[in-house]
Amino acid sequence: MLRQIKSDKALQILGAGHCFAPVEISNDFLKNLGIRINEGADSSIAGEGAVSRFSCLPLDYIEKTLNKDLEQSRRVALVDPGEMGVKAAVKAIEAAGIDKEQIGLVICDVTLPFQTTPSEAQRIAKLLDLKVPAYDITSISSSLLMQLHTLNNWRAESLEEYVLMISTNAPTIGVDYSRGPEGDYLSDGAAAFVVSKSKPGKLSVLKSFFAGDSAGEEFASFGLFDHVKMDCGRLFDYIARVTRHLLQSNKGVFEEKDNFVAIGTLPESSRSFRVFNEFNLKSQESWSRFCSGHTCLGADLGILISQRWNDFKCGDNIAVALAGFGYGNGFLHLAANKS
Amino acid sequence: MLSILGMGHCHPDGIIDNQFLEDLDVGTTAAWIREKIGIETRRTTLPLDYIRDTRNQDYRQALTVATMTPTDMGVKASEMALERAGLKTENIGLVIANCCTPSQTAPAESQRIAKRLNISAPAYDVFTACPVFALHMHYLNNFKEEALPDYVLCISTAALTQKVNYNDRSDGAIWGDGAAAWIVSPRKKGKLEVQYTSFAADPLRSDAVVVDTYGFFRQDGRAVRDFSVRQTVRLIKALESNFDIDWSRDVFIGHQANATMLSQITNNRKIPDSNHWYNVDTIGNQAGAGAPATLSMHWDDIKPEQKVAVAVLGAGLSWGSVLLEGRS
Repeated sequence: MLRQIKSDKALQILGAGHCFAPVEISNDFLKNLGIRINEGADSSIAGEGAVSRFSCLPLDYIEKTLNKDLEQSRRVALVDPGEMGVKAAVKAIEAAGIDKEQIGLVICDVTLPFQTTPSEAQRIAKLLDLKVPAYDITSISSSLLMQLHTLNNWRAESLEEYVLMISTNAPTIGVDYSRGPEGDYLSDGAAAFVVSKSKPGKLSVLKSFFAGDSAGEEFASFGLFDHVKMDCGRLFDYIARVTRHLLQSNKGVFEEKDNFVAIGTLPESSRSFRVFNEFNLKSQESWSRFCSGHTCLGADLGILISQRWNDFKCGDNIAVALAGFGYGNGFLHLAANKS
Repeated sequence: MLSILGMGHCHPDGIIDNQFLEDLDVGTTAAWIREKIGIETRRTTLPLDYIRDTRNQDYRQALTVATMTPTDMGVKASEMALERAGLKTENIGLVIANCCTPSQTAPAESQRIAKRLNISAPAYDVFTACPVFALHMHYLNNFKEEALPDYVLCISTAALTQKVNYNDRSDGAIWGDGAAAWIVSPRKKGKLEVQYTSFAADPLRSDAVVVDTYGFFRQDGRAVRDFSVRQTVRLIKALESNFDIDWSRDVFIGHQANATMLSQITNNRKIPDSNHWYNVDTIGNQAGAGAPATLSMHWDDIKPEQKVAVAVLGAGLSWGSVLLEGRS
């Protein structure tokens, strides 16, 4: 595992933004295609509204072709990962209250790029008209957490004043809509943070931890020329097991303290509540993209934080325990500062 | 201070010589290739019969006929690096990788290689294509020393011949396939000590070099060539200004784009042939693996107190440098 050290200066999150792909795919639409919907995910959780997922693919294209031709999916896509990343980035920059020209580094995560070169970070920086270093750091589901952990462990003097980090994913371009469960669970979207070690932010990264076991179990395959394949049963068991372990290992952070909310990747609301409840993290304060709108992979953490960005109050705390595709997992303790 | 403890490389067995390309009858000759880009042979994961018969017009088929994948090459390069460093896979605490021609994107290339090596450690991709040797070293150099594990395995692997349209007379002459791996430690001493790292980019020119997921490699050749020579010279001059570099003792390794371009650079900086290490003339352009594979191929030639100046650039457009010094 990467060593856990006491940070000299905590990484600050100054702004968050997110963007979903323009097409909403309802449960009824998938059921009409013959895809079985996970009943656990089908039940909405308090305050979350209806379950849905988003796609960059037009509904009539999906209905007509079931996305059998993966090359065609890229041609008909209404937006690409770079464009979604830009939208999320613009919102994060605005939330941070800075000009885009102040960004000194762009890092990005993408799971199914439309081009394998240049990096998605470089494509997004170009779309934002930024002439700064840019490159990709990708660990699939845990990407934004891993990026936060990385920058939290950089020397303060190595970090640009403002760093833009993005995760943007369009996994539905790889979905075979003639079968499940990929069409049910995968969703397209992007999230972005503006972070700094030298400027105060709304959220401080008080603790970060990232680990992984690449020799471990494999739950999904995203081939460039093959449809996405997921083994949901094993994946969900793994996520529950690792989330429980992460919360147990870090319970000193949140045990017997108020004002904590939890973010996880637990796939079903009932299972999510059960695991979080074991640690007295209240169900209405347990947020999961899987529960509320399915997964945009590495972007999920950023989307959840961006959706509540204006609601955070000084003294609020967030415990993040993430696991998923890509063998990586980790924990974050984020704390809201005085604005 | 970072050290490199071991390096490894892997190149597939297939060899494309200039006569083969001339015989494809796409408007090039062996003499023209030799004169313009100075490459004699390049390594490929594709069977020659397949290239001859199909010109790789269906790049998806390349994946099914290839003798090796980028992951295969990355694994072999890593095994060599581990052996040279005197380490076992269980010593590795972090794996980072770069691949511009992956066969799949999840798991990431680093994760696939780590799994094959049975490494139980975090793995993720840190990617910028060609100048990745500088990026990986600069990325690791930014960490607080205590935040890194004792041993980090870095890999760059690419099979660009699988993304070449062999009806194009230029691209077929440039690309080769290969992988390089190197083991970095923040606290254990190794054969090479890292003196300096840098990485920069100009994404406004990022569409000058493109590999479409569904398509071929394509680039704005003239713009990239001019940029490559000018920027590499700038990187070397910056190292010369800030460090005690003596080209009668020290060594230069550039981005292995083509031999003619490298000659222009070494002529400009008056670097003698004996102190210019390269492999592009026999392997072809291996993207991000080129410079570290060259260094790996000269691993036993590195002398104590000898500086190795690596200046690399490419897609992004991005560039960077690493100054290393030999240790006894």
